[in-house]
Amino acid sequence: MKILGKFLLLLGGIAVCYLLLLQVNWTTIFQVKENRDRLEERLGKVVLEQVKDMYDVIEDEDVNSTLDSIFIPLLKDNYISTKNYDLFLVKSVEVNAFALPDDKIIVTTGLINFLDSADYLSAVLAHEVAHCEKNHVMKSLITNFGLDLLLSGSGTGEVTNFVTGQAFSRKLEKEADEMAVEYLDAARINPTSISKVMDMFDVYLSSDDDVSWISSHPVPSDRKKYLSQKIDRLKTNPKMYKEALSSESWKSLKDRVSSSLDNES
Amino acid sequence: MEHIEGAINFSPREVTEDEREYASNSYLMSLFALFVGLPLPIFNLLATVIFYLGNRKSTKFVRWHCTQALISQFSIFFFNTAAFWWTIAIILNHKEITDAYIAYLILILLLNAIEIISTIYTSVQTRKGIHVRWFLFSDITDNLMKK
Ligand SMILES: [Zn+2]
Repeated sequence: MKILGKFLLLLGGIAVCYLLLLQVNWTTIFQVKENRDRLEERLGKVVLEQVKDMYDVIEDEDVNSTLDSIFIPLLKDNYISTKNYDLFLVKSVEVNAFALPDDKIIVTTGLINFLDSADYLSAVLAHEVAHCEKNHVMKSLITNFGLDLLLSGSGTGEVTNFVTGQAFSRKLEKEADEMAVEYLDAARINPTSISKVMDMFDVYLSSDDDVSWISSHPVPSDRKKYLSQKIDRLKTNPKMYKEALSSESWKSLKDRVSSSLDNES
Repeated sequence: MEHIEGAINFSPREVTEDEREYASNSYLMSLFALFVGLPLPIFNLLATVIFYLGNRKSTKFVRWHCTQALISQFSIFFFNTAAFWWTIAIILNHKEITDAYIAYLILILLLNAIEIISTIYTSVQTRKGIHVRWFLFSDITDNLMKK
């Protein structure tokens, strides 16, 4: 009887342990994180393929290395691993830049054409990198489409439309703008470039051209307000800023981009 | 660990050096077998059974500890075997890994950890001639020895 009692006690104790362990959602702890990383990687590939179908990617070595010389320091000065990042220049008259899942950033030839200085491109890139680093792309995709649909692999067309339109919430845009100020400052590029880009868009908006990057973003005047507040808080030192690229180099880049457009058309 | 009336007990003075070594080895043996046999839990049971049979003609102290080691191995064997076949079933049927399965694996890990720690502790103590009685298993051992 003593043995039976102890046996039942031990078995009961083990059963209680098991029931307690059952209360935890182990699969979510171990798997979902992994699933999401894999999902992001897969979506990144699929969406990139679709974007490549929609646009022609410019594959001019000079142009790409010049773009990288603007893009890579922005990452390195902020201690962001360059391993996963990729920057693509696509042929389009649209003035647009967007981030795809898995840290792929797309800018259009229209945007390069539109911007007067490499600093402005740095500003746009810093904003897109912030979207990637803060995981905005995947967060918005999950809230818009639901994790289940994304995991099922259907509706990738809508996903591509969504990321090229980049309709992030106002809160996420503000976060990306403020993050971009810090990125630019660390890369020794004047963060006021972001505000200046907005001014340019503001003027441009009154015309009828297609400026997607700004139409999908909050009103420029709002953004400029919180941007200048953020820059004030940073206590920046304008003397330490340098140009992302000399104005001559930027001009020759623009020439090269437009000539590559002419050649192919 | 506990002193109970009617239980089989040994005082360190009565236990010879050889007995200490054999008794201690029976635990080390089961521990070694546990590591070897972790993927296929039948091995550690087999090893302990072989060691038990080899020491059947030994003194009471040695036999008592071989028996306790065997019984504890036998009980953990059931739990580990269940985990083993559950894993096989998941792999063969391409089933999804469930919370119940992970909870069971963690339980198994805990039980094995307790088993390993107690085994090391008991092995060290019996080497010194100290008689260590495990919860439940010692009572079963007493019962088996009286027969
Ligand atoms: Zn944005």
